[in-house]
Amino acid sequence: MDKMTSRTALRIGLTAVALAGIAAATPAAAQSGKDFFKGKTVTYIVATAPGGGYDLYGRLVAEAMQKYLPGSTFVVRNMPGAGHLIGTNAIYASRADGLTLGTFNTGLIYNQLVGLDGIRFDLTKMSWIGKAASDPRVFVISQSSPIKTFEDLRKSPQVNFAASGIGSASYVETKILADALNLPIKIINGYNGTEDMMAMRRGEIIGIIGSRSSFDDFKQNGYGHYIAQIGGNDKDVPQLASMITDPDGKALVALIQSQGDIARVTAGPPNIPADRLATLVGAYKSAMEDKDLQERAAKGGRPVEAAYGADVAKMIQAALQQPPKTIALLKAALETTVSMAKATGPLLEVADKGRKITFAATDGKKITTEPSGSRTKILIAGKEGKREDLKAGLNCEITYKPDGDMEPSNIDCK
Amino acid sequence: MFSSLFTLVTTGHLMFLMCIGVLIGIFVGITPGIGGRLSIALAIPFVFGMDMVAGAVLLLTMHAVNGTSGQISSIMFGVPGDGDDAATTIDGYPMAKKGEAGRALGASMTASGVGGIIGAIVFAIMIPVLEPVVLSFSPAEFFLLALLGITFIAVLAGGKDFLKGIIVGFYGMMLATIGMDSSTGTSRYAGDFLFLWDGLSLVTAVLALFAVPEMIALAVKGGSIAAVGDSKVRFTYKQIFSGVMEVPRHWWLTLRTSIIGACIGMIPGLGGSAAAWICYGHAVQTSKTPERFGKGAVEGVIAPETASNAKEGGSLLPTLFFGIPGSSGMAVLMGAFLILGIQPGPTLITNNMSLVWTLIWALVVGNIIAVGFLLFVARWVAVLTFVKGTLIVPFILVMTVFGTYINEGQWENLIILVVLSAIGYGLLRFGWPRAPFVIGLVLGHIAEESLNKAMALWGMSFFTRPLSMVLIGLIVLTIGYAIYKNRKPSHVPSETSLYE
Repeated sequence: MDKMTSRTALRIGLTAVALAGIAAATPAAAQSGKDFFKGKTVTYIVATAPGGGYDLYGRLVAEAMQKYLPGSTFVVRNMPGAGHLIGTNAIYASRADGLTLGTFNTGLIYNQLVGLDGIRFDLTKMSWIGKAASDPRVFVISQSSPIKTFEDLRKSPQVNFAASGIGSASYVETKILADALNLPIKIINGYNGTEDMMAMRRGEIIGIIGSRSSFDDFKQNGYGHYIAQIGGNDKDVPQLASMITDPDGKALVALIQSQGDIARVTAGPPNIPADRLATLVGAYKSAMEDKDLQERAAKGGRPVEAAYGADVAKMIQAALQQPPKTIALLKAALETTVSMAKATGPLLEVADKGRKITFAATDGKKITTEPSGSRTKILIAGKEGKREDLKAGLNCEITYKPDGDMEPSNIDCK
Repeated sequence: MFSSLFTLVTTGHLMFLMCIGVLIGIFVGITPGIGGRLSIALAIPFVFGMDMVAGAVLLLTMHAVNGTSGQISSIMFGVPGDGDDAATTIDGYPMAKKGEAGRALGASMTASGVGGIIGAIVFAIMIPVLEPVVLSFSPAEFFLLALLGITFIAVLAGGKDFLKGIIVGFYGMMLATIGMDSSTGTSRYAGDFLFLWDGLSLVTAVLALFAVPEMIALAVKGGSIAAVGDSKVRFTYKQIFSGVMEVPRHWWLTLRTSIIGACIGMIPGLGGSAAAWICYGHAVQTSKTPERFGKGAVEGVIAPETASNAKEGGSLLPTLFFGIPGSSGMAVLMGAFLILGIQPGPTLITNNMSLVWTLIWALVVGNIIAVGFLLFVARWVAVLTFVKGTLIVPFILVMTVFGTYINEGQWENLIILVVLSAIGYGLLRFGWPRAPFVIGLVLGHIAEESLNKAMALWGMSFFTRPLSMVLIGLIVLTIGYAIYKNRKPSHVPSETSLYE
């Protein structure tokens, strides 16, 4: 990033020298608006590797904006990595002269809401130029599954859903919906790119919550069907919001929808001078209304559904203003540690100087486990104790892992 | 099906586009750090408005011949362009050191071409049985295939270097765990360094492990890469032709590795670098004289090169007939196909089989053009290994730094390059093998991710899937074979080599 800023600085220095010459000949007022961009190079950062939707939209937008800012040169720069964080951080940290813009996944709204690691930006402060599309979410179910409607899914025994890594937008959305709506979904992580489609074809995965534009071909090929949709104007799939009554669930669906409505954004760093920002928004608007761009986007299967400047800023603000309850639900979904089980009652058996204990779980089942000398915290009557201090018959509250070796983390005895 | 071939070779502008595609593909392949994916993404604006067949042929040939030229710098300077080329380096560079650059280039280019063509044939044959075959490979099998590849470390690290090989292999696997763990969401060895979240850059690692140490060694040693005297005989067409003839001499190996490569390409989820390494391991394992590998065995050049071009035909299958691309490169290609008006999916067979045949023939013809062109220029390229090291080293180091930066566009990788280069030079200096490191790095990640998925899906019972059992049998055989080999004393005196 240092490299980039120093280069930007050099470029700005050079253009400043060039401008000094022009400024001598032209009135100062000409520096604003469209004239500012004459002879300038605008860097358009795409937060993904070349190829794919973000890159395609980014290149279309950059090319068309260049057309509507005569004399400017738009250069697309791919800055992939860390789930769009690297590119977005770079856009945010760039000089607010209107010469650096970019595009990234609005799923970062979730990251900002719960304050995940790696964020060096505040989406509410960015200079919003516009958005090119909406990205409604759908529940996709494999064709071979007997689940044909959302009701079927509710009543079904547990089924596997695919998501990419924990912390990714796809995981967050699947997890919060499964938890809040109490759906019988087991999330299998680590499906990147189109691996999830292949997994549905193989049958190991039954469903996915994904963006509709990515799955239209999959559905058209007869591999799957949609049972619910969040956002969008399509009439062929029932809206999820209409099928649920739970207020928490409704709040989360609204959050996902607000996020999906703002897709394929273009934004710059905070505090771009107002007149330049207005010029950029104007050029973006002309670009979006450009017949050539619309035709090419449609050919790539990427329809244009645009909004501009202040309107997008408002949508972002709204999406980021969530009640504490919703944020708590999000946080809980992202809490990655395994939840612990608890049992209260007497120690039934203690063997090998406390290295092996047996107690009854809440369902009455006997559990035999080995407390760890280093990891298990033992309290005897409020005082720190050792494994040797554990005796059969002691009345204890035991916190332990619900599966695997059932190792206790805490043993608190009276 | 032959009418498509006839149309292809008799239509002037299609042949012209194919030549353009081949040239761009060769150029992109030569430059380390730039993959085929980038070239297609950049070419997309130019295919807007192009005729469907013309655009598809241009893009496909561009992508397919990438691997044909990538080996040039691997063999000549020990500078692999990416993960698959690194496998070619292991035997290709020692050949160049022995003054056999021409022979190595002849063999590797021919192998690439033949691999590409066999890949296209496998593509054609597999169409009717694609569905059951591709769908029988799940994360359980991916894990075991990756594990099989990892056990080749034991074979590769034969003889007295057995322990060293295992240590280096595990070191590579350890570095494969760097990054965000997708099953827990925790960052491992990466902290707040965002550039490490997606894992250690493979291109940076192979350049640091192979290219930089060799250049340091060359600078220290002085002279030229080819350690033999400046004999003019050594870079004639005759030498190149003797390399070409190595491919028919090893026809059985060529056929097997091409088919393995095409099959690995066909299964989405295993990745291209895995194909080259698994085939390299296969060549060593099935050789009667495995101790020659790493010291300039021509089979060590043929196997990975056939695999890396054959996988192109394979990976096109799920992309075209399921509409599900198997690699990021194929995803970009599919995006471009959509723009051209080609709708990949099961209906393609019924609706547009003539296009499919054209694409298959484009793979064949494109590979032939690429090989012909490269063999023609190889003579002048091979001369470079006889140029004084002091002239070559700075140029190669600049290329290495350039490749490291451009691959992900992150300057932090340059620091990683320096750190890993020091380790790489240490390994070279003290005679430790470096191939197991790359195998660990490439396959360790796939093995871990697939194991996590398989465990989440089926628990321990995934071992009892029928195909899993077959793979487990192969793994046991490989390990058993390695142990058996290691108990036998080696009769061949060891030479100083890249691999040792």
